[in-house]
Amino acid sequence: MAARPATIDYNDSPVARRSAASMSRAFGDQVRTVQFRTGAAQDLGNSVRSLKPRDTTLPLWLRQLIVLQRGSSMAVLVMGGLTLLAYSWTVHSQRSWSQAYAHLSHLRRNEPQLTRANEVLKEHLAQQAELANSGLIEPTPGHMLYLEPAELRPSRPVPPPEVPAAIDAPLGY
Amino acid sequence: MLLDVLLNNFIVNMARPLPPTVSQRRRPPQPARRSQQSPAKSQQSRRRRWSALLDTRQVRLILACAVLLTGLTGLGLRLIKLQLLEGKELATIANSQQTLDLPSFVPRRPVVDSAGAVLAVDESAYILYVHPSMVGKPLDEVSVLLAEALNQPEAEILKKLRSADTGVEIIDGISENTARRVRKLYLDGIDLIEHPQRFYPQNDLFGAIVGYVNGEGQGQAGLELSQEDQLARPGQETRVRRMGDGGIIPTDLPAGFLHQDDLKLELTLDRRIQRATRVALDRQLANFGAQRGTAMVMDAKDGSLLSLVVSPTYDPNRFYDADVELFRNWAVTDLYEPGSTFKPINVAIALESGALKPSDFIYDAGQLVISEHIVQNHDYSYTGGRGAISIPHILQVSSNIGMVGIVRKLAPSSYHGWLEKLGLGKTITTDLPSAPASQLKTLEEFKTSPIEPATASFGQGLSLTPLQLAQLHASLANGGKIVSPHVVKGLVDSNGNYKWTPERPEPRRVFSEETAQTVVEMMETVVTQGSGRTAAIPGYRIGGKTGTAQKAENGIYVAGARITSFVGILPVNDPRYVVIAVVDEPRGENAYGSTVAAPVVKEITQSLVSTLGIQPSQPVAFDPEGNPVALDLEGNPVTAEVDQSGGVWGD
Repeated sequence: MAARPATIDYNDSPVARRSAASMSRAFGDQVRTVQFRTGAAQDLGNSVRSLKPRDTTLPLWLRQLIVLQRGSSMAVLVMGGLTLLAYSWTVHSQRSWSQAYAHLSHLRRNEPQLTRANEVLKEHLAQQAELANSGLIEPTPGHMLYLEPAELRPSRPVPPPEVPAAIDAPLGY
Repeated sequence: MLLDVLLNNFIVNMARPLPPTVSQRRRPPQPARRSQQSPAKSQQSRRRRWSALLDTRQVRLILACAVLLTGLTGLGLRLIKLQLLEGKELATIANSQQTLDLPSFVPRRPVVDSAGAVLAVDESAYILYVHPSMVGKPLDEVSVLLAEALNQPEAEILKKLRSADTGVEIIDGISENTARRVRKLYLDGIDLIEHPQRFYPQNDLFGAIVGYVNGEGQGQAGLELSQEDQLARPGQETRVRRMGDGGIIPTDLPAGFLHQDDLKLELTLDRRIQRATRVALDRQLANFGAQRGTAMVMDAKDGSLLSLVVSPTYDPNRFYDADVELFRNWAVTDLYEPGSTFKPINVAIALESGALKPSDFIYDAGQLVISEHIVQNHDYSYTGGRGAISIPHILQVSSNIGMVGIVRKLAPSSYHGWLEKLGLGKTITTDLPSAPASQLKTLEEFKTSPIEPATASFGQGLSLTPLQLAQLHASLANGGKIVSPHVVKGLVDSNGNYKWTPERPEPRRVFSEETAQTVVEMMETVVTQGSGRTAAIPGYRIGGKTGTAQKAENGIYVAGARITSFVGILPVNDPRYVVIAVVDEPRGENAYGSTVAAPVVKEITQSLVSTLGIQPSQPVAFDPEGNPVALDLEGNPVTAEVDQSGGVWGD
């Protein structure tokens, strides 16, 4: 229940009391101690007193607490978000690691299979080639051409670079 | 404690006045209106209302307490049951579900040849077990499905399924693909047990060298046995935790879990040359009905073997069907008397020791009597004595008496010392397993009995393995150094970097380069003019030496049984390769080193020069029929005709 801050200067004048009562009726419990200084009261000869507004600033400790609260709320929010991110990352990374590992295992299983198939095929071809009616012959030097590596061509003489014609002109113009 | 606090909190909350909205609704009437009623009546109604309210609250409270207490008691009882009564069993079950032992098997490293062709690789094989009581389908239906997936007769499977209730082994050694088909059937009560299986794609081509692996994954012969440390991958079972869906939780994994090394054991062998060697050897073994044979090509520079074939051999994929005798690579393990193929070594010894000069002539009487033993040339019966002949001539005609004359120029102890220096009587250093010590008579025997150095001069009375003979000839081909014959190059990764290379003894110099080259050039005359003409290839300078020896078993010569061999060295102008063929017990009258083994070497050499692209060292001309003919430096054709006129016994 935050009471509206108001100046309080208790005065016994009937006008003031009446107006206070009407205020009380109008606002109920919310207005408890509100008094107005009326023009009539001035006439009673009381000296004029300057009104000091009540110190509206909150105490330092409270402000510090509020700042702390806001700060911590923000921190909680951020940390909550980070936690969610971290959690989802761990779940995701674990899942993707598992998938990658399954893939690796699969590849490791397939590797010898492929090696085997490749070598079996080569062996089969070699055996086919060994058969008498395969139409293939064993390589002998008589069927080979040996080429002597040609000697390096002599380097062609490169014409000397043309000397730029001397310009008979002053350096600065 | 926590529960107490929670419970109290809850009861306190329940007993608190109801929220303001409710209280406002039920608030007693405003004083203005209240004044119209009698005070007594209003008080009574208020009390009644309050008591009713109180009653409801109490009931709610009691109900809530009861529900909570029941719940809590239930939870507590369940907790007691789970934790205290069934705790251990459940923990065991959970543990078995959450942990997984990986990897279930670590494959052995593959073996590859020098060009990277795979010679041995591990693959997964499966044993299929079926528990018929758990299948939940009629057995005949299951057997039809399995028969289709396994490509096996259905009746047999059904018979097996009906033999027992659980743990029926249907089939062993099924492949990954078949196992996948079985898995896709989604049958209950099926177990596929994975185990590694070694596969040798070339079947029997490398069997004698690579060896085989038994059912427990241990090498039993060949390189699989001798290189066990390099082939077996270090790998221990790793226990990992896994998630509900079976995926592995990638925390707490040991270092290097994912990074299985990609090392392969690389050999110096070449598949193409190996195949050519096998083809050439097998053909000749069939032609002469020989008992067995071996042929090899060695790079004399470092002793690496390009091919090594023994025949007959076995298929390591089906090692269990093979004769146990075949597991032995006899080119490495069996000693034999080299006969005349040893003569060039003796010439090199005599030249190196200074007792002989290349230009010397030796008197060949054709026959000698040494300590009551008659020693004669193989052709003495029809040629007789030859008189004084040159050293190359001795090699060309393979004169035993000439060799005795050469060796006699050395003191027996010096000669014996030379043979020992060459490694005779010792075991050669090689990475092929089970090499024995070669045999050499003792120094005492050499000194006291003159027949010993005499027979050793033509390669008898001492025995060595075909591999050691290749090593000795390599020392002629590489300029006089004894190298270690080997087939293992090292462990290589997929980028071609060697992570491990075997330590081999440094080449040991025994002959000077000059001596070695002189002997090789003398051997060339054997191929151009002598008994080795059957190994000549037009255009190539090849040195060679034939050998035909009586076969000795347990120190006694077996009548009629010969062992023929031929050693070739090429190219003579820059010797590098040694090709050896040894054929054991060829049949027929015409079975000599020159007719049986030399053509094998010729064929292997032809493949070798074509495969490696070795240039011819002489010009080649073509005869009218289009066949290539080598020309010597004067332009005369060098003939390479097989001399069918008469065999060369003991050559």
